[in-house]
Amino acid sequence: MTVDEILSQVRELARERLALTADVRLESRLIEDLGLDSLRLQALAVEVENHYRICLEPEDEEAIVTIADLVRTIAGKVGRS
Amino acid sequence: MTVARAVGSEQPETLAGALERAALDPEAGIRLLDRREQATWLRWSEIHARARATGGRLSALGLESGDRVGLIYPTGPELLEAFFGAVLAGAVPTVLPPPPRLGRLNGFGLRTSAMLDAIEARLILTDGRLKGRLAEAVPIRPLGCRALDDLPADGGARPLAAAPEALAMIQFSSGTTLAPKPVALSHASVLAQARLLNSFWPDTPELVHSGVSWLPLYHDMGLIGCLFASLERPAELTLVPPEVFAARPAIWLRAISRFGATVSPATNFAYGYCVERIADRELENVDLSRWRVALNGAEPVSADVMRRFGERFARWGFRPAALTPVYGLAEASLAVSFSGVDEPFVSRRFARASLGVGDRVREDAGGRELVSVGRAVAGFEIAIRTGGDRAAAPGTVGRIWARGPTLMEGYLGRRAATRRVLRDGWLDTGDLGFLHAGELYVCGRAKELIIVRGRNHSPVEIEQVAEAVPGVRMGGAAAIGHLPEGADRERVLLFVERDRGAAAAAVAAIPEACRRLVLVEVGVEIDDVVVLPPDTIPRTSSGKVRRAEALRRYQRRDLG
Repeated sequence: MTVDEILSQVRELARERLALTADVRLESRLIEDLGLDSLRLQALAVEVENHYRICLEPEDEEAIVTIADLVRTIAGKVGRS
Repeated sequence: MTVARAVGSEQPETLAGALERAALDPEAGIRLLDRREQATWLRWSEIHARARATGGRLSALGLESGDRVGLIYPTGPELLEAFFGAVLAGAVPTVLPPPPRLGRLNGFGLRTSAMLDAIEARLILTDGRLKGRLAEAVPIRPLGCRALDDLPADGGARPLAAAPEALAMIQFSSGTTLAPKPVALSHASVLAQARLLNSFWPDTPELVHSGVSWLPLYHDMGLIGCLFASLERPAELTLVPPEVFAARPAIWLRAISRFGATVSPATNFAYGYCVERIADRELENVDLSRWRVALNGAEPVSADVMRRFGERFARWGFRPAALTPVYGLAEASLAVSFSGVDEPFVSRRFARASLGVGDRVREDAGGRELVSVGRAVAGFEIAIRTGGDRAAAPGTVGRIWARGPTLMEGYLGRRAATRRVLRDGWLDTGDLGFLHAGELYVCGRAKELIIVRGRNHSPVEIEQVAEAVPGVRMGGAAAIGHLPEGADRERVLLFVERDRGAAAAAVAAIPEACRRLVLVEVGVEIDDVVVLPPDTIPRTSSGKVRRAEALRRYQRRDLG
């Protein structure tokens, strides 16, 4: 799966599942730019895990600040499985 | 085991006794649902066996009777094993929130450290996956921060059975604040509370009750209201992890339908969230007709939200009479009042001008709609006081005091704070309300607490963050939670005074900067930021911010 494919799927998840209207770009920070509060961050983590059938580990999550970080983490895990 | 024998019809007096009794029933257990809705059944006998082994290993580690243990886990079998393991080792567990998903650790570390310090935790037990992350975020405890796998082998030592009046657990009032108050609860209290709750849904030959809960187990309604109530009967309970509810609230309703649950509690926020977020297609073949008791508590209850929930889900068999507003708090082990089970909820409108402390309430068709949270539960009394120790006449607005068999022992290690709220067997709830036609109505809070989505926040937590924003004056912030006219949830309002020397551009950037920083540090969305000139937030003579007064002036358009 390419970064572009994952990005468009993450956009879809954010719009469909989180009702997020903000423009989701690779450089968008989850909290500062997209305005996700703790409830929606939780929801995003679970949606991503379900969609890609992966498990985000606490140390992965700590390093995720932007959409690019999230997409990279997904790509790494999907590639491995 | 030296735990008091509690077999058959005898009532267990300690959590260990209740666990032992539930373990005798080979059918009894807890169901855990994962994010893919796969169910794992965990028998109480298994939980008991694992907890005994864990208890022995905790004793081998050096954990002693009465030692406090912080438990930091997501909802899952390990949390149950660690909790009851600590109980069987004679220790006093406290369940704490796990780190927020995809969130930042700074705020989490501060809040968790404050709670661990408040209970003087000797040990942290946590998930192997979280251990590394936690070790960086919180200070070292005497017996360390360990996963269950890191405990030494069971040396065979077994502590003496705890007395019923000994501390069973410490509960932080739902959520987290910077100055958390550790509510110390005895075995006798939490079990009496579990029995009291179960008395509202007695089993009959025709109807055997069972529950579903997505509430976090660090929340009193999740731990005491659901887990302990299930253990006490024992009754079937399905646990849905809270993050799964946050992502897909439909999974909660699907679980109620799939397992035929009759009792399931939630917060007011959750009922509104379901209306907002669940699509029809997510509820295929769902049948909510067996759901008899949909408790609504832990937050201000909104009639409008309940009406919308009732209308929205009637198509799937939901009976609006199931909605049961309740009132309680950790300091009372949970429930203080219950409205009628299987009866439609009651709401009335009261003249706004009659809802101040000391006022006699007046019904008024154009007034503020308040929901009755019912009558005092068995053994409890409710009194409204307007100052002094005498109960005010019915219909008078004042502070809600409660007396009953399951009040806390006190705030752990905080005598002065305990004395302020526990007097002559009565508890000052810190909430404002009145009795009308024998029923309790809650109309505000005397304590300054902000409740967002079921979580309590201290205003100070938010103010400290806001004060770090460039252009905001030191000490010039006031955060207030309030329920505006017609709103279905509490709004967070932040007043900030601009710095005298702040440039216009910096001032213009203040609202957005405050919102972002509070979101990052506290995880809370501020609804409105109001920037004021210096020295306009009302203060006491000692300089303390008067939040309620600031809100009143703002509503009168008299601030700034």
